[in-house]
Amino acid sequence: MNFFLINTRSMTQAEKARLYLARNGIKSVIIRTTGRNGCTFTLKVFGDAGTVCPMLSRIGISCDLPR
Amino acid sequence: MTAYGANPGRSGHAMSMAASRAVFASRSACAEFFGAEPENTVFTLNCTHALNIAIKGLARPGAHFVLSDIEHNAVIRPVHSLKERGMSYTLFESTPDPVQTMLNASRAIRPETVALICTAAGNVTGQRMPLLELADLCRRRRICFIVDAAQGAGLLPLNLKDGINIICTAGHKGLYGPMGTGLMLTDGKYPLKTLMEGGTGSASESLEQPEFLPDRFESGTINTPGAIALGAGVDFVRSRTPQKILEHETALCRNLCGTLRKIPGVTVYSEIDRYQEQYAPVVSFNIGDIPSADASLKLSDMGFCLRGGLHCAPLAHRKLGTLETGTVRFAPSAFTTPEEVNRLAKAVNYLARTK
Repeated sequence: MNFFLINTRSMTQAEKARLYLARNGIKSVIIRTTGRNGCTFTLKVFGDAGTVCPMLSRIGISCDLPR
Repeated sequence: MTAYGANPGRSGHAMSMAASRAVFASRSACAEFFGAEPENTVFTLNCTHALNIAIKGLARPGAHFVLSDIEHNAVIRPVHSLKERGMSYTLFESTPDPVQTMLNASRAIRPETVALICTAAGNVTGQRMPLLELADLCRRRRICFIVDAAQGAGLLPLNLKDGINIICTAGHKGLYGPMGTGLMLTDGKYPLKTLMEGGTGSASESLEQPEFLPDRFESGTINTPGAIALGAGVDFVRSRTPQKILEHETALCRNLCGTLRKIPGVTVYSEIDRYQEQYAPVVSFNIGDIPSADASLKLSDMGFCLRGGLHCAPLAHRKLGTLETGTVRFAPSAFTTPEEVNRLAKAVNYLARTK
């Protein structure tokens, strides 16, 4: 299944995004990762970034895609 | 503790994530209850902690604060402590006439005023403040409006969408959460400096405290069982509805006030039986010249748990004229019954006759 990753800034933001996507039929899981900003919560989204990112921007969450 | 025994917002293993989800669910419930976003809903140790974050977060050289004359020590003490740093404050007189109260508040505001802080309802007599009008005043005067909602949350309409910038509240009163919990909810219009810095489980590479909420104000592990339980308390209030709980408690207080007023030697300081709309359900009284702490002990021996003393609200007692004596305070809950109130009135009658 295709997926892409979104770095969120906090667990609160990650869980908000996960629940929002779930309510809109998009599955995602939260993974703890270490990246350019230290420890972070990454959302593994099973969907298309072109569809998901505009949805998340509506609730104030940007797709900070990891390098 | 048995299901989510792990630290939320720190690790990625199953138990930590389960705890994180439970905390978020509680945060969301609290946020929705007060018209806030979950990110702008901060779990605190209690209302005092929340007020310290809000008040000291706005402190800057030369700042001025406006407070009502019935504020709890949780408000007046942090503000008063800022005098040592060159800041100042003014108390405005609250009156039974909301128009006069508004005039008094308006006159207290200066060009250097950064915030107006007031209680939703006093914890001694239940006196309510005209919050909508104060919110509008603060908006027009471009100052932050902070509400101490400890005595009103779960009963009175309190919502950020009504123009309040920051709501601070206790978890253990009208929200039916455990002691040692509280909330600070903000609309985000007024950035706050931090009271404490530390590990947040986020942006951990940086030595700077995160700018984003709630992490900015939740350094260290939060009171996880408390936060989750607070969400359950909010769910309880929503299920009963604040309006129904307020009606229930108001009826109990009106009954008690009316009965106590007929007992010779008893002084009642609350007026919820005369001006229902102006008071939250709290009744303060004294039995003759029995010191309030002694009266509270005597009532405790008879099976009634009421607090006697100054209730950490010396300003309110100074205004009432009870700074020397304090008062005995009856503060009902959703579970208090009319029969219990009747028994309390009889107990007060007994003490008044036999003192």
